[in-house]
Amino acid sequence: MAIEIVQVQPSVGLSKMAVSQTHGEGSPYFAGWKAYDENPYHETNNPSGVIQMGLAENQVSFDMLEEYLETNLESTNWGQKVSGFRENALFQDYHGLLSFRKAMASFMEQVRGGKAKFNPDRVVLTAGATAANELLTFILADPGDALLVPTPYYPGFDRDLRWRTGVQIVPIHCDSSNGFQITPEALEAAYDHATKMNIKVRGVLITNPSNPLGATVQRKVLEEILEFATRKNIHLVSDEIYSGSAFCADEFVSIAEVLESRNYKDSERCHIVYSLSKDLGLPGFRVGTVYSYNDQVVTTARRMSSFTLISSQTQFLLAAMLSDTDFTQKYIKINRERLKKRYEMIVNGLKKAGIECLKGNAGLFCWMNLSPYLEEPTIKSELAIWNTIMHEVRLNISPGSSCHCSEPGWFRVCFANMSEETLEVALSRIHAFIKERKQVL
Amino acid sequence: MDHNLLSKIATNNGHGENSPYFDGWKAFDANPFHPQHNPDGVIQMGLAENQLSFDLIQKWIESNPSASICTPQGAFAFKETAIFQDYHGLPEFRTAVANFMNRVRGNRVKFDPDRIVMSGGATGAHETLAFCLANPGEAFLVPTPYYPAFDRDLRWRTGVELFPVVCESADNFKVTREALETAYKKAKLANVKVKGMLITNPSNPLGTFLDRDTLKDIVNFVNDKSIHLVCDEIYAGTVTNGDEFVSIAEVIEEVPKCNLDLIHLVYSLSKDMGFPGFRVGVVYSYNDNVVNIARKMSSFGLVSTQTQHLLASMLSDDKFVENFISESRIRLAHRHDMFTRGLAQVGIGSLESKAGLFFWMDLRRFLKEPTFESEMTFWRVIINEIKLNVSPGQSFHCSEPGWFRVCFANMDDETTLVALWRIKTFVRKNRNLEIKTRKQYWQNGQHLRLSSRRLDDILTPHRMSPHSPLASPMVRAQN
Repeated sequence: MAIEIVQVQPSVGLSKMAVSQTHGEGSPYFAGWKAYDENPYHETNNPSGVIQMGLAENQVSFDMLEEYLETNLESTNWGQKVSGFRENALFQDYHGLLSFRKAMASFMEQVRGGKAKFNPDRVVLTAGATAANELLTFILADPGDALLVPTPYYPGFDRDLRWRTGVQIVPIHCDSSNGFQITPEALEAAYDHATKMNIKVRGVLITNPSNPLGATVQRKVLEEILEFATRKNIHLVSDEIYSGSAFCADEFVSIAEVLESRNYKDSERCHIVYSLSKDLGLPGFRVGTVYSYNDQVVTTARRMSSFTLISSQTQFLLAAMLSDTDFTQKYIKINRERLKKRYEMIVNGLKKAGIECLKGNAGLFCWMNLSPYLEEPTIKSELAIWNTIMHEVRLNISPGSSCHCSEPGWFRVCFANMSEETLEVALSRIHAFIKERKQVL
Repeated sequence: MDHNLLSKIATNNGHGENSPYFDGWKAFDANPFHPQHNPDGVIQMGLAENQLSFDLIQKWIESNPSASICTPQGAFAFKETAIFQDYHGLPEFRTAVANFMNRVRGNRVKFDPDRIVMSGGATGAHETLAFCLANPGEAFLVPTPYYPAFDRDLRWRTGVELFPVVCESADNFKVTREALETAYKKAKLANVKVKGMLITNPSNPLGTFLDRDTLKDIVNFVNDKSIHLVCDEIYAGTVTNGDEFVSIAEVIEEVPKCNLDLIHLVYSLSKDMGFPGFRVGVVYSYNDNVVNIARKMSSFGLVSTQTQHLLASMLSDDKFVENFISESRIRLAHRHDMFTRGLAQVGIGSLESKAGLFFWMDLRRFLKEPTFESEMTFWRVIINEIKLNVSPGQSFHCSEPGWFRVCFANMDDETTLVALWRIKTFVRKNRNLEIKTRKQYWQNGQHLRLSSRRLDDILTPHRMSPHSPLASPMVRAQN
């Protein structure tokens, strides 16, 4: 994604929202993109360019999608009738195509290995998870209120949850002492901190599997978080957009499973965000969903989705694809295997270079620990090494500070948006860099 | 879990669905007309859709299989299309949309593709602009009558207010300088901070478009007050005689002192092309900062790249575009005429208009009293007895009761005839209303005041203009 870094001058006549910096694009997270945009790596045309490892995209399974299309063009196309196209082009009902909602619910069930059931009537469609997260925030919290979010978290949340909603994020601090897992103490501490600042907490938002950690949240932790939310009488939003990227299906536990196993007790405070951008690798199609166990939230979310509906053309295409359960079963399984292989490749390669990563089991990235190589355990040092990696090693990776990590030295490194060859090149560059660095330190 | 645990936005009525505007929909949903399966059902005339020219598009799609990423010819582009999520949008898409926008305006203007920002339909575009231009509590002036969903689009999540600029039938509902000044003063007195003005041109629900002088007046007005101007031109392609339509893009070139930073346009393909499902909205601003910020906000409502890809191809086919635009106009005008002539045969008039997917029907003389209660009562008659879902003027914040918006482009010819027949039948059955009016004229010798030409006007089938004596409040008062 190409992003301009433009200095917005305070302008007479625009809203406060427009001139604030809450869109977050001033963050260093985006500076790396700039470096990449100016000098993008290409295996033949620009082999010394910057390799993009800051973009969490899934490109390892496109061949399966393309193969599906080749053998199923009839059903994904409108057919030869005028009426097929016309009906589709006219369809603007914010309930969305029933066939598509059914297909999404079915896909979400399959991703969870059938361990949870999803009701198509609770599926609300939005143009991407970006819109889904913002929409839920508008519904669950008033301006000035807060959502508790475990750190480190996806930098985009600063914009998605806060910018136009006026809602705040209060961090739940997690650290490497226990693999960055969320603890009941950390939850309480965050809540108390908010209370002391006179901020009303409306919910907890977790990402499971986690971005940037690349790890699933354990069942026990999910239950603790749910218990905490129930006790404080607040909401629980579970962003599960990486659920299909868990390397072993068994290791991912969805909040949906936890709820089902308790007969949906306390479920009306729970809401799930999903998207096809990561699991299917279709970010351009803008397919997101809010799945809520709360009827009023479903109704309101649906009304609000008017601002961000999914193109009926895309709904039609994906309804066909996702209702083909033979295809989706196969896709989900093979996709997991390939991501696992990729993950092992990068983690082992980094290990050989002397770099440890958090033990991960999901996602399109690994959480790399460069703290031993910092001059000082400070964010300043982290950004210094990051700068070096960006401009000298020519890799765009994401510094932990942009993810609000409380410990300096961690970096998110994406591995699924490139070929294996490019990944090898990246690994060899890192290898050389660390070798040099060791001699210096 | 109780009600209080959701936000104020979630629990207020800002979604607007409790408005009577939606009651007609409910009646339709419960009993929808179908020529074979349900010939007595409610005919939907409350939905402003353009369904008259799909055959042209279908033909194009069939002849251009590579425009779709789901055909053998086009599937090669699937991956790159599916991966592309840059909020600038596909450059060829922006160029094609700019090209279409130019041609709808007869190439009298040249839109800059780099100022085109995507949004989730015009719905998303309006909300985005409200977020960019005004703070919660600040207001936009909006001429009445206006599209009901503006109440939701501009206010719900933004906290921005709408302040009406009252337009009246005596002026043919034109936006006058006096009306603007009056509204502005009223807002000031009420301590409402006016941040901008929103006009829809061509107008929904009126189906009229603003003349050059009125537009210039408006531009001068917003410059004088240093407030923003948002022009919703989503119906630009529905103007019968394209050359007559004046876009804000043309006018600003003729007002040299205009501060371009105040001027913004909303466009969409939902009406002109008939693609509401594709969610193609455009924010076009002459203000660089607004383009920049709106683009960042577009992350919340981007157009699917699959759709961008299709339309990039379609809208850069100049031959197709020119033919589509001119043919669509002809078909819309013809359908419009069918209705207004048919209605005039039974003495029902409408505001003279040459654009839109609807006309503004004058049913004032059918109201028991000139009140909104009477309008509501009569509207229920229309839905339940005549079985047509038309939209009552009050849902558009019209200041005068008795006007109804009637959509005509969302049905086939057969249904059109059924709708007309139903109306005519109803009027004839309730002829006592008509007869009463005429008798009174004859009895009071009023007819002697009318020139014979005017009498012919009343009795011969043609569109009644608001200047017709039958419609004049003066005549009614004397009765």
